[in-house]
Amino acid sequence: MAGSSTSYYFVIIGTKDNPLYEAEFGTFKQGGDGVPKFREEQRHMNQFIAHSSLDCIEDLQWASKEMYLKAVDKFNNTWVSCFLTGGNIKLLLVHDARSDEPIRQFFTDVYDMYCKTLMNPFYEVNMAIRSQIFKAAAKKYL
Amino acid sequence: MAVPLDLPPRSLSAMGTSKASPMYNLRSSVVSTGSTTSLASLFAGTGASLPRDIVDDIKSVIHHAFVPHIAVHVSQDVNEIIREKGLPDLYQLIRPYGEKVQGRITARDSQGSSMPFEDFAVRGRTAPGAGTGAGQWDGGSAEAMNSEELPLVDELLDLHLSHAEELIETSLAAETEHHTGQAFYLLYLRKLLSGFPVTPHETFAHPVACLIAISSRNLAPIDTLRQLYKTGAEMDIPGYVNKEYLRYYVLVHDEDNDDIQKSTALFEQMKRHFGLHCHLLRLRSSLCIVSDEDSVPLAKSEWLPASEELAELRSRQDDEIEGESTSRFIHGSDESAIKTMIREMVAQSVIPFMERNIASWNDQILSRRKGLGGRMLSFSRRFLSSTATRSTTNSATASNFDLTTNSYDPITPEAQMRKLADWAFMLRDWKLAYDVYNTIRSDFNNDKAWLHVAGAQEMTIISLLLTGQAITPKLRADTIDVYLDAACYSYVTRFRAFYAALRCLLVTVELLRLAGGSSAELAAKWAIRSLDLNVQPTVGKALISQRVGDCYAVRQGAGSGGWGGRRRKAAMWHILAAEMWIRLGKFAQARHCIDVATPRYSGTEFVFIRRFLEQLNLDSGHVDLLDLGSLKLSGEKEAQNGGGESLVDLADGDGDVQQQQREREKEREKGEDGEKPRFDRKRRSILIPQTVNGDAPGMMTMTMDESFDDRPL
Amino acid sequence: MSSASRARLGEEVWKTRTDKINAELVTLTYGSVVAQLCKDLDGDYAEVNKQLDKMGYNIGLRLIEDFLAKSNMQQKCANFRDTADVISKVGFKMFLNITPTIANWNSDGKQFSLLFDENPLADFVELPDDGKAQAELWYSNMLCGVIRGALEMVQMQVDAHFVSDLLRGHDTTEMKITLVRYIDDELPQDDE
Repeated sequence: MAGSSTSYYFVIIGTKDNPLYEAEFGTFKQGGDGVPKFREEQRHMNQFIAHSSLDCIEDLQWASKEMYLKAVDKFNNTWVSCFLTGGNIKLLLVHDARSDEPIRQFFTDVYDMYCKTLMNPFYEVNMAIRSQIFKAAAKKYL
Repeated sequence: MAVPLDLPPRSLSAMGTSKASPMYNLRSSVVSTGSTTSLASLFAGTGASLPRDIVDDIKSVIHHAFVPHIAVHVSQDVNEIIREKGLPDLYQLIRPYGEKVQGRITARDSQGSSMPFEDFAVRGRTAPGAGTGAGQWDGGSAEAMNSEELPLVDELLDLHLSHAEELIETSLAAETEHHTGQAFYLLYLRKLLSGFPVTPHETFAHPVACLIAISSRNLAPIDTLRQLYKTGAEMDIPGYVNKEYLRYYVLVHDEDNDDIQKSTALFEQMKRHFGLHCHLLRLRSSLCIVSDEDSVPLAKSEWLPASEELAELRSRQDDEIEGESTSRFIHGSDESAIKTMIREMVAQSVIPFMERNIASWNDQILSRRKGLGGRMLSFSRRFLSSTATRSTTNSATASNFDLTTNSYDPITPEAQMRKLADWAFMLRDWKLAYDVYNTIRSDFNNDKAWLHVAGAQEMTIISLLLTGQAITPKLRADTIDVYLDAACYSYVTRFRAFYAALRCLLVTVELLRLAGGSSAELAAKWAIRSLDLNVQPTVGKALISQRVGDCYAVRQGAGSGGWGGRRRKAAMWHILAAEMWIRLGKFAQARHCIDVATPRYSGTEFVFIRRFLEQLNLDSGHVDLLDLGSLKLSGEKEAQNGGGESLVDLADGDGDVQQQQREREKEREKGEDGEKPRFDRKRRSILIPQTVNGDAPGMMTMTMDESFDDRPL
Repeated sequence: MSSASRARLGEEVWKTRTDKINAELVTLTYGSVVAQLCKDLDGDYAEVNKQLDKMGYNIGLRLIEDFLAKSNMQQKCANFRDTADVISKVGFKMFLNITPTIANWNSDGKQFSLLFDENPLADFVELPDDGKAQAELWYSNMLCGVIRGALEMVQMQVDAHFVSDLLRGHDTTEMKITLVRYIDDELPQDDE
């Protein structure tokens, strides 16, 4: 993962394996500028990895009472962390180092914003989200 | 060694266009022998999700990988006769027939009940120091398990695959399904398991018996036999190989030249001198050609090590250039004589010999241990060895382990128990083998004989899986995962024995996959681990990646939604494999993988996934109009929705793709100029070459639904 | 009654005499009404605005009684400025717990604007991304109808409409209210 270290791929996945919202960003920690440093071939791999981790999440979701399932899957050196909402919407973060706590905070903020998005009368479940609001949460914790 | 060339004639012209094409019969190399063993029932309940014949194929490969090895040590005059027949030596002649012993062979297990095998096999190997195979015997160190076989296996598979590509390209598409399924993986596995190196930590490659042969032309037959016995024993065999193997004496009678009565008399004399393990093999010395009345093609060995098969293919290629036919035939009478000899040797000598030894080792060593304390009490081995083996080791240390050679002397209890376990395993008494492996593991551990520990861990798991015992989650977590991890660590980190690690992983993976359910997921996990070994070059990696997908695919999940299945993972690995196949230029394999995976992604809204799949389809020449149509539709939808802020940049999509497609088509145009239109069953489409006036696109496609009669062909 | 005492009155009524309901429920209910209208009328936002206004009018006709009963206002408003003050500090305070700013009086004192710093009805809302709603839909248009209906019951015919909306990306949410005439001793029109 050299060259793409401390970059994140964040995706919200709806109930039909459909991405609702996607973002790539780099770390803001240690003077990072938040710009993702994914190589081109990593970008589709991120999507494959996130998509395939849904298999594991379907198993885990009945075993855990928590919404935050922590790191659920691993592909080579890439981790997938998951936050599962009550409405079976999955917040997934593809990242390259385990750090459960900041990711939990990030997810909690994002979840809060997702709830607000859902309150928009013109938004329907499983509809793509075009708002940029989630980046702020990334800036705060990752 | 020569193999008849029986390619269908129409493929020959295509062969001519590609100089690199290996000339051999792919079909016979790839098709694995079906087998119905008495152990089929083991897998009956567990492998339900896999078709029966596939289960049998995999089991057959694993069974046939671990078979008794029989060294062949012959006098010069025997090989003279064989050479007159047009073959290099007796070893090459009989080896293929050892791979399938005729008829049913029965062995008794440790409980005394008899187990019939329909597909028993033995592996021939040259005697130590006797020419070609000599290299195989000077292993002895761990490096032997990092053998050069791995790259060779890859190279060989690469040839096979290239050949299959050509068959498909030249409209022999009917076989596509067969070739692109798991056949190549099985071939890969078989080749990997074909050349066990001789090592101290396991005895599978140590000879169980030695076939010593003279011919009726020999002037001093009994002396020669004694001489052969002597040279065989004095050969430069590593010290850890037990030389107490069975000697089987064969008199080769030349039917065409010599007097059978004289030979019979000599044979009687042999029996008086050497006991019952004798056989009179009546062979004709004349060259057999295809037009002879009773000619049969010489059977081909499926278990040739990759190095030998490669060498053979290369020499055949040279022969082809000279226009010389390389087909080999032998007389039908010879074939049946050899089959009979092998059957007798195995059924009447080798198996009883193994049974006797197993029983006696079992009595002497294992039961003594069990009698003293039982395994559960885990008596210190040092205590046992001080009573049992002090006299033999004669050494100041209490351990029998020789650190300098990293081995045990064959007469130590440790070495004998390992042999006991291996032999029980070869006779498919998995339960006994499992018990013994389980026991000696701790002994080896006490001696810090890490290579032996790893070997015992490996075989503990394999024999456990073969017993057909239900694999509980506890068993998976506490035994299989732990031992596999430890064995791989030892093999790779301590000894850099990548071959051993790879074998260990891939055999386990197959057995776990057969068990199905969550074991199949474990199989995928360890198959991925084997990719991490990073030793096998590209073809192997692609095959294993594809296999990871296959492993995940076995886990189907419950209900209509496939809940708990691993469909998405399977699809991802098939796509990864497809990408590798394209990089390797193996487009048929790639198309197969794409076909398997595509339904999972149809209509996906992941932009990069969709774009990547489109690219794969283009690169592999995969044409499925339905798929492209749906992709295109969703692409348009995306464009319409693209008004707002989209995080993932889509702007540079379509132009590139179309440009590349046009370039590809141009390349195709050049390549396919002058070829006939052909129907590709797999792709359900017709490829139409350039039209006469040249202004039509190089490749047009249409589905079966359209009437292609209207088109200018 | 001074402007400050009206503010106190509004506060008191909100605190002691109003049954509270979960704000999200109101927001969602109102949002669903609007979204459903948009769907049913197939994106004809002018018609949506009209329907919202009509619903508001019908609410206003009834709500004025509740307002008068709870606020217990004895004193009649002296002028239209007083009316504006009551609407903002008592009316909006009591029903939505907000106090829109009064601004932009015209010279003859018959027209003013209500500036909404916050609007509970529009919480969480983002207008549809269809290129039309941003220009045509007045999301909170029901409020106009409510004011129109309520004032009509107290003998004032007004025209109320939004001129800007934060949801459309404007800087403020502004409703313009114009007094058309005082209705002397006339019966109100029938419910529309």
